[in-house]
Amino acid sequence: MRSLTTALLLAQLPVLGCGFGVEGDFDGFPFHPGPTMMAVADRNALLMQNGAVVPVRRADGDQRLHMLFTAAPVDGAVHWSGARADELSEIVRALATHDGLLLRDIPLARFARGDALEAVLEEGQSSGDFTFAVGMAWPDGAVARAIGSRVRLTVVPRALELSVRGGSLAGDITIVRDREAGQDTDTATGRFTLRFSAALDPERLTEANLAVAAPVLLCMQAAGPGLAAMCAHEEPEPIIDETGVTR
Amino acid sequence: MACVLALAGACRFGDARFESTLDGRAFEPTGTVFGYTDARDGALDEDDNPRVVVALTWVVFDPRSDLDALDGRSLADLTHELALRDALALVFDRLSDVQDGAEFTSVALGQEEQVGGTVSARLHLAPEPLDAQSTYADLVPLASRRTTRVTITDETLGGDNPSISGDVVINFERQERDAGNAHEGELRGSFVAPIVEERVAEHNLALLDVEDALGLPLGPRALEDAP
Repeated sequence: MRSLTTALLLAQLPVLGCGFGVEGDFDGFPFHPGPTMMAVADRNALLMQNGAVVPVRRADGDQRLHMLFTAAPVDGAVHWSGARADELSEIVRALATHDGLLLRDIPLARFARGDALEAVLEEGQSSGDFTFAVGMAWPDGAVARAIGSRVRLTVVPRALELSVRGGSLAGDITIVRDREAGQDTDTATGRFTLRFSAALDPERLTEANLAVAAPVLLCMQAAGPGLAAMCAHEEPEPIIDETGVTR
Repeated sequence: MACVLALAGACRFGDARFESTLDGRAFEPTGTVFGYTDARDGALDEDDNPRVVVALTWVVFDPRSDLDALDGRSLADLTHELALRDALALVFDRLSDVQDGAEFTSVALGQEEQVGGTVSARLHLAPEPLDAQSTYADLVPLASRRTTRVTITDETLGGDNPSISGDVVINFERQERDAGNAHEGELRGSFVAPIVEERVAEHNLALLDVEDALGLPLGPRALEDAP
């Protein structure tokens, strides 16, 4: 049942400004991957070719969109890997102990056309138009029960504007959790909707920060809410910068 | 523990100075400089003509003291900061070659060192700090062909206070694959590396988790790529 709070959030969401609204849960198991949102249009890349770092503009069909939603109190305007050891450790711990949602490799051209995009996680394998990770922390007071492990994500674009130094986007994300074969009949299932509208973040900085967040979110999804905190020690993915591959 | 983590310019071990002609990039592995001979591998097998390692890091610590004595937070700070700063390791293949006036050369394409050189030069440049203004359009990579020349200017390996001194020139040169504006230039400097006992040196390098950055401590010779 839609709560009054989430209904108001959805109703008040501005069409062109920055906003974030959620609706639904998984049979009473809450999921609040906000209010922090990071979104980046991945239009450029650094390739390693025979030892050379080569900046390239991706072909239109290869450009992607990545998004991170998290309840963790993190600042996406800071270069996480370049922070002090304790600060980085705190960022990773916060990500691992708060709800989060990561969507990667959404085809930018299809989002721009307004195509509905879908991806599924089933029997631990993901397939579809993009990849994702639903990282659920175990909230205080939540009843311990199994959660449906078949996850279907749908992204419905509402707007996309790209500019040289940024742009904005808006859309709706629906997450549907179902039981998989072998799960108990009282497994928590349900539908969750997230409506977002935001400015696009700086490409290089945000991609570097997502390289920190992605292993954590992927670990959380694999671990489940009961063990998500074990993801507080995940190492960042390597990235390429002007010096080559950096870990 | 005399030296823990500090800023460059604080208490140091050994000595190194470098100048850079690479646009916008200094090179400062000048906090801690030390060497050791890799006389025994992990299984304690002895090498008759061991490799000699010289390590240079921006972070400052005392390589003679067991870093295990640091508290966890200090060690984590040191390890993390080391990865964010300049460092260089020189691995000479045979102790007998490390003599006054000896010259060594290493050639690498990007991070892949070519086999057959007389020294393995493992360069870790401080990763780029990024902010909201960092763009792909503004990024200028380093030229990918890297030639490192080392000249031993003094060695007292058999003395009471053994050390190795040398000059180092690291040249970056564009290749066909490089972007037309890739930075060319060189890092030129010298070092004085007091020799530290092998066991504590390797133990500290392992604690500092510099395998990714410098490929240290060395694995068994048979498993390492020959320089």
